[in-house]
Amino acid sequence: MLRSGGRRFVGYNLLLLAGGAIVLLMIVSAAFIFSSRSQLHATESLKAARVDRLVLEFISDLVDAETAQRGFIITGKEAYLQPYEDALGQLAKDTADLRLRAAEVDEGKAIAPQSVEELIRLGQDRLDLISQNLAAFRSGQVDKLQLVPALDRGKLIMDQIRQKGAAIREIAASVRIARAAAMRDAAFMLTTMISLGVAMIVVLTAGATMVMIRHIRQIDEARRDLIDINQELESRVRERTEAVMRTNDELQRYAYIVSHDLRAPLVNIIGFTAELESATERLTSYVRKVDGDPADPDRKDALVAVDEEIPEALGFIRSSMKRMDSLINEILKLSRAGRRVLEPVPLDMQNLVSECVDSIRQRFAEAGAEVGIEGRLPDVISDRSALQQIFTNLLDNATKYLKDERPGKITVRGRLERASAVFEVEDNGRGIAEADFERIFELFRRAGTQDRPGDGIGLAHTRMLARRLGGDVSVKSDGETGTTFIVTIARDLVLRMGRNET
Amino acid sequence: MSKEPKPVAIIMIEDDEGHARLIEKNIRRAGVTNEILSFRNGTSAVSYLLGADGSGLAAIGRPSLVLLDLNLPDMTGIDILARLKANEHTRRTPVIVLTTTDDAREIQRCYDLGANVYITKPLNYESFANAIRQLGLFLSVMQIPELD
Repeated sequence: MLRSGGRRFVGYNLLLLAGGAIVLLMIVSAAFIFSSRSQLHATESLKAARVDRLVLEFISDLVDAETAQRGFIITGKEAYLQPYEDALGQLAKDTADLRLRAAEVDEGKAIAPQSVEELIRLGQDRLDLISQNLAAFRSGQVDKLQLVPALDRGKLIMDQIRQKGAAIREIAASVRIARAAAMRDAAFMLTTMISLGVAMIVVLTAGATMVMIRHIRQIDEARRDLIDINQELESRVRERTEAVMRTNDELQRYAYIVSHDLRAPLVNIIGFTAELESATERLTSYVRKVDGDPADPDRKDALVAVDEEIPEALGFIRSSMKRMDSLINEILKLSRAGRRVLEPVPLDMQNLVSECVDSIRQRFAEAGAEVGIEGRLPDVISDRSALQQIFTNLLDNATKYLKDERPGKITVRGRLERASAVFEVEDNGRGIAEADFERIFELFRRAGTQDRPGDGIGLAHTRMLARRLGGDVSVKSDGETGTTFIVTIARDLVLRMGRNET
Repeated sequence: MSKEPKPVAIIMIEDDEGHARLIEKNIRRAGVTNEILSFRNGTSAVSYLLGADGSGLAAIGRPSLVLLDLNLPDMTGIDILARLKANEHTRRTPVIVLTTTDDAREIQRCYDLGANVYITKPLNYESFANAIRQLGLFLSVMQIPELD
């Protein structure tokens, strides 16, 4: 669940990131487009303004020329001709400019070239008129009064020029207004785009934050679930360990009580058998001593009874008692070992197992078996004596049930598994049939060919000890090529016992 | 103090009839002729030893020695031992614990409560008979304080 959530989280975030990048790209390109468009509009607007100024200058040049002419005519002073000359030069320059610049406005589409040309032509007409007047006046062909009609005509032309100029300026003004409006629109568009982009980024960021928060929440939930699961698992392990330990304890008490209660009648059987024996001895010597007819069948029977039947019966009773006695003693021993208080200490298992191997080295030598520790055995905190007993039992067993036709090889190995240490004792002996896997751990039960001495105690003891150490023992075998006993114990018995006390 | 001591009665508290019989046989074989009173359960033994009222006054002027088994049907021998040793009139009465249990803690507890001797019934009959006979010899020389 966590994994798919994580993948979705990455997917969402990539999507949001890509969205953010696209929005930024859009903002940047919009800014670029609109600013270059604004620049264009500004340039065009400037061009229109220049035309407007040029038209004004053109007219003002004409007015200057006219004023100078008028001054000269009125005063007759040559000094007035200088401004006239200046105005002419300026006018020529401004005319050329006006023609050029007017064609530039809106690529020449806004102001018709004819209207500019007409203005220029009218200007030229006016100038021609002025220069004619001047020439006429200087040569003295006409006096001031004769010039009046010419002046009137000049005014007429001038009015026409002003009209034309105003028309052109109007066009220039409208171009400027249009451009300014376009500029305003572009600026507005840019602002809108930026605002939109910002809004989108805010939305995306909010989305990313939400996705992240949700993801964090999921992680948190998953973590909490994991803790719960862990706790449940731990408590389950604890319950199981407790149950096993409790069963084990009950079994120990049971064994102890049974063995004691079995002992009481056994004391009687043993005691009265001894009494019976001593009574029989007396009886036997009496029966032998008594003279009688050797042919008497009763006497013969009595002799058979005291010489054969009673000793035979007593012999069987004796051997059975002995067996019973040893069984009870084994149960007692087992039960005592089960009741012994465990003393967990840090143990170097490599050392401990080596010691166990050494203690029964003689047996390995006799059986021609080779024994080795594979790798390094993990150290544990556990009970030394119980572990010594476990390994001695298992190694002893392995040696006992080797197969005659192949040289024995016994291997011990170990590893850690979570809170447990797992040890294996593997042999290449005769193996154990699968049907007997459980049976061999039961008290007084044995499996396979009964050609070796044993009471069926060792493995029961081993299982009891392994369970007390917070684990168990199991067996693996194909019934042919060998057997592996797997002993699991708590890695830290102090911890395990501490847990069970709570 | 030249008074001859009264014969001491042996109080045997043992639920197993066979054990009781074997013990008696072997004590007799040791030459001990004292009276042996046999009790099969704790209740009857306690009411004899401390009297029906449980005061212990019944024990006055009646020197005795107790052979006690720990596994009894109605109470544990430990209880009887504790009650005898707690009573002013019976606390000096020697108690010999004779039982099948050889658990070290059990033995210790008996001595802590004031048991005079603790003997485990050996399963080997030779040893068993031997132990009882030696106990008999021990009893024949033992001085039991007279209570009054």
